[in-house]
Amino acid sequence: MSSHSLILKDLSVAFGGNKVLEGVNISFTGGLHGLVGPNGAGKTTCYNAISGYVTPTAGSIELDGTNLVGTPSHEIGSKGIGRTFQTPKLVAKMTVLENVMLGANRTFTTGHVAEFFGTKKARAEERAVREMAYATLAQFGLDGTARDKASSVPLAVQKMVEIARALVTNPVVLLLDEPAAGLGAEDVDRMVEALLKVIKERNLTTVIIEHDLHLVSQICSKLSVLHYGRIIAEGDPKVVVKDEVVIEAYLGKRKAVK
Amino acid sequence: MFQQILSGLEAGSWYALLAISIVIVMKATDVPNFAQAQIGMPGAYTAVNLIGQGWPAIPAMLVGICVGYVLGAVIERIAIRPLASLGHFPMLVMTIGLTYALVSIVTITFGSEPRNFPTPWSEGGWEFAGLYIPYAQVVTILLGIVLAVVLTYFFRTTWGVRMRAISENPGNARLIGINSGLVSNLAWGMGAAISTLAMMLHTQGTVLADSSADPLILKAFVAAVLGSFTSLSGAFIGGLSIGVLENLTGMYIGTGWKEAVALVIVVAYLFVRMPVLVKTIKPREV
Amino acid sequence: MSTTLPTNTANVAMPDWVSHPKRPIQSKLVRALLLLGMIILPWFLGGYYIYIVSLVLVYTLSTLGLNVMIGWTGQIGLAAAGFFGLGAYATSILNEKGLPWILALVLVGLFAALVGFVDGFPAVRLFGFFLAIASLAFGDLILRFIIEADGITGGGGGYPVQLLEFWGVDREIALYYLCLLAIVAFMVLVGRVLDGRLGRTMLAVNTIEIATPSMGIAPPKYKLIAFMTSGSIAAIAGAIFAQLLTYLSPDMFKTSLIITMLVMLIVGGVGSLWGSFAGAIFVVFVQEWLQAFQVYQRIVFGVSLMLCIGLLPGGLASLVERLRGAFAKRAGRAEGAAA
Repeated sequence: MSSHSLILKDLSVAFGGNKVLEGVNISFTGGLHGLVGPNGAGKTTCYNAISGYVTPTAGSIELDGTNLVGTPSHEIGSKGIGRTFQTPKLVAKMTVLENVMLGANRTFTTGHVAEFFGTKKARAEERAVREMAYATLAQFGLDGTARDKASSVPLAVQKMVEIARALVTNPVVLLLDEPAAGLGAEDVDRMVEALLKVIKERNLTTVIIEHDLHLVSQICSKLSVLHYGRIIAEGDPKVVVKDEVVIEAYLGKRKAVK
Repeated sequence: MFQQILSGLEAGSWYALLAISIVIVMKATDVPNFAQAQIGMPGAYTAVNLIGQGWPAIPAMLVGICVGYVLGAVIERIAIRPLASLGHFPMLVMTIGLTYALVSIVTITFGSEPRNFPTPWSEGGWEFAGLYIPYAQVVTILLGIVLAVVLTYFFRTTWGVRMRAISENPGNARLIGINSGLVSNLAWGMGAAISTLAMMLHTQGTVLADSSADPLILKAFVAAVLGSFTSLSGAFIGGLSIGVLENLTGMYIGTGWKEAVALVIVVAYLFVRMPVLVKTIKPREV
Repeated sequence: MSTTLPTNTANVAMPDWVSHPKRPIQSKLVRALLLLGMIILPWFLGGYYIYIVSLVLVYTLSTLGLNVMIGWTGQIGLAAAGFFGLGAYATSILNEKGLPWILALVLVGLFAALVGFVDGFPAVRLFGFFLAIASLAFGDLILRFIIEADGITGGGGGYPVQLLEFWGVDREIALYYLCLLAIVAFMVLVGRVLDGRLGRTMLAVNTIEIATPSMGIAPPKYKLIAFMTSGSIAAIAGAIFAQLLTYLSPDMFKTSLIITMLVMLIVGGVGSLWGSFAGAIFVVFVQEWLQAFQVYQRIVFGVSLMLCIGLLPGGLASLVERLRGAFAKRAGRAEGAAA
């Protein structure tokens, strides 16, 4: 399986007069690619443009060569762009397992009519999806919570459930939005371990927005830094985090005290 | 036809006034109050009672309006404010329940027999170039316009500005010290008072019965929709238009279809305005 | 199948409840007993009470439709009274013109789905109370058509329904079994689908609409499905209703009907199929008990609506859940103490 590529070319997004992204060029070509930058830099807007929630004012977004701009958001999801959200979006009423099964919408081959009539194929597929969702949860060590209501599990679990759901969509590109935010060290380790394993197995092009530069420099093969809507640095994480421009963006100019 | 237009403006004034009160309540408390017409009934009945006991019409009506105001304020305090965070559908259903509760109380307290509602201007009118213009119609239309103008000025006063601030950005408004509880209370009181006036204008010169509010509420909501639930002038003009269109339809197409006019208007309007009302996904939500 | 799905299940120990989800034995028992009870009911109840129970069943059916729309998909579509009337009138009229009733039922059901599509089409982009007002108006508009077409429908004067013959069996009883059959069929078929993929997707569109496109789910599609199915179900319920009441008048389908339906939905429990049943029982009970006093009926309905919204959002169904939860806790504690 070769990995898929998602390339942003000269991407610009503006809301009214507010330019959130300006001429952004990034190539996500495989492995775990970090997208970092101070608050308000435009990272989530990048995701929103890719997912089709906002329309860019200029530029293109190419998935394996096909421009996604202008495609309705649910079609973009159908094409295989999976994603998670800053605050996990789970259906509180349903169990963890059912929430994960939601992701299988893209992989179901039988339709709702077949489901209504209870055909053998539909039932077999429902069962297969159930098992697969459970297996995915097990990869994150969450099989014990499968029957709990989504509203009753802690934030860390919710975030991982959302990732599991995104994985169940069998994505070609996975966009993670601050998956580790608000999580304790143990949970982060567990999440990262499962994630890296899956990425390797499926050769999945993954992008991760994160604030923890330390974490990101350890697990990502490449880093892109966004600041005020522009890319200010890109490359090997270990090098990028030491880049002066990047440090200045995060901490502000250090006024020399003489 | 001029006669029909005038009648239309009269009916339209009722819808317009009710629509305005719906919008005021909506703006200040974010509740679509299905009971907005019904809430005017107790006040109207009070006025009728007083007139029956010998009071002159205008003081009686003023008392009725005060009763309406108090009722609105009380309901806001007891039933609405505790549930403020619930969202549109639960609140809509809540107010539907309120409609039933109110109409039952009215029937129990005042009986279900229709009452006469005589006012000094309910008899007679002007004869004029072959037309007959009832005083009542003119009073209604004028009062409607006067109220609309008064409210426009109100929203420029301190309290009016506070109300607008709350509706635009409740969080910020509270931060700068606006007492949202008082504003809600004021809004509901005002809304109920206006509804009482509307109900009185609707039944003046004829009879007041416990079913008087029923035909009005949906049309008032349609008028509010025409103002996107936020514009008072839109709701006002919307209400008048519905009244006029209704009467013209009744005259030229058939009385049965008269009732359908408001329905057709709202369906057509929402169809046309669809793109503008689309829920835009705010980037911050994601 | 596991080769086409993203995650390989081969190495995972699959607990039984995942591969073969089964309803707990108590639940199955309760359902079986209930069904049995309903089947033998006519032996114990007289004609009028059978009619009442049939009415409960018909109301439950229409509330099921409303539940799919509001409870599952979260669309505030309030045209149900109009569809109820549409089903009642259209089926009866077609039957009168010579069409076999079942065929008329199917045709009307399909037609109602089409009308539901029209109702839902603008609704797809509307939200909240705009949708509520629009659909309320739409339902009223359907009623208006019925009144205006008085050549066929008898308009305000009323319409005597052509009664179905049941090959000599007592009419009340035969109708009762028809209602029972319809309800059981829907509970099973629709219930299965709501428990499954369609239900999950609808709940997602309801609560996490923003996230659904990323899973390839298009909210408009599911909103339309909700409108079409609930319209259809309401129409079918209406058709049976017509046979029960034997006489139709537009007054029966006015705004007060949708309010009654909302009472059934909310008091019974939004999002719970059994709740719809409970709600229907509540409404019919109140209507019968306070038959002479419309005023008191209204007070009860109005207050119960307000109380449910304020204090018991899940309706009667949520009470049952809490009781179950309390029992489970006690059982757990007893086990824990014994261990």
